[in-house]
Amino acid sequence: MSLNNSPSFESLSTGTEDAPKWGKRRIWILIAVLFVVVLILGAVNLLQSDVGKGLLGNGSISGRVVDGNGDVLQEAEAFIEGGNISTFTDANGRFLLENVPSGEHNLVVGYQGVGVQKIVAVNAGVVLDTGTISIEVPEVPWAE
Amino acid sequence: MIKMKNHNRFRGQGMVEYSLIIALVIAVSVLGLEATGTSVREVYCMAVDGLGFSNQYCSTAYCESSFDSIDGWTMAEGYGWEVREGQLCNTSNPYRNYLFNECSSENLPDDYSVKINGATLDRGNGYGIFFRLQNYDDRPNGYAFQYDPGLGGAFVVRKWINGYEINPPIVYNRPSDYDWHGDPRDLEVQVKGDTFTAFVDGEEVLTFTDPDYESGGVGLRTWDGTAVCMDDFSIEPLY
Repeated sequence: MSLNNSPSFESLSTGTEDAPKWGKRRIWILIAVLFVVVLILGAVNLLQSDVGKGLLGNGSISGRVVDGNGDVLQEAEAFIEGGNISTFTDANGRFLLENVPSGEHNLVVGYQGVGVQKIVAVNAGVVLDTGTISIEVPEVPWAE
Repeated sequence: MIKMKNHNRFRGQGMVEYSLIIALVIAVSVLGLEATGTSVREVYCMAVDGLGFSNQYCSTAYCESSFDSIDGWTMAEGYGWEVREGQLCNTSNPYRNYLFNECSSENLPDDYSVKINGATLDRGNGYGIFFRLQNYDDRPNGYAFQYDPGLGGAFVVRKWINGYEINPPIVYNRPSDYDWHGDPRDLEVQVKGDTFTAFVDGEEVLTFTDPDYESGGVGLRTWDGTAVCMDDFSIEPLY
């Protein structure tokens, strides 16, 4: 650096002119980046929540329940684990779970104390047919 | 004359710096203990015990029963549980029978060890221990370790959802040439995080991981004509 381009003593005593502006700019960039990250994380969290799933819409789940011999099971219970949506099979062993929020759920189907579980993906406005679900009915009775 | 600012002032550490240094030492110590598999609680409790102090935090059992009576237990579904000569027994009815430990529903930590000593299966298809149990009624959620000769002779863990035991089992172990009936057995289930390990007579019989149930209490169950008696029960800290 030539002597003509060297900073003067006066400017050194108060700091160079560029340093404060660049420091403030960094802080604002950092704040903006953090804000965007928080916004993205909040959006992801919302979409994974029950409220978010409701915003995405509801679907339905259907299926048919039989025992180990292939005979239909009436009054078998079908429900979403952790939710408050449940129903029972009809005389043909068929069930229809309605108003299921979009997304992935654990479907549980049970009969006389024994059940099976299945991960299902529900889409808004669509009836997901799970096909035939077999439950090995136990011989152990319930107490009266 | 230009007066330069003195940028070279030296200061000693203040209280904030000392506090941060102490916190950093503590954090490194805790991380070091955890990395070596040593529980901080265990070290603390050993130190407290060595100094001759008693501490409820380090008490030996969260819940325990020598089955002098059936007090502290809730019967749900079925029946047939009774205390007989200092043993808890369920003697041969054909139904499913649940018995829940009331103490375990009150402020039990997430991690613990359940122990049943002197469990003798005289006849029938088996008995089980509920753990990480939620809902102390006829619709339990949780896991059940089962001493299960009825399932082709196996140690089994099943998941329970809203009162349904889920098929297939999460894990099972079918030992060969095992005497299921007539001998007293000491059972232990260690419940730690999402890892669960079962022991029979001090030997590990199965282990598995599952993230679904993060907390919950303890219960017992029998089924299908089982006749079983148990000497002692405890839920202890898991260091």
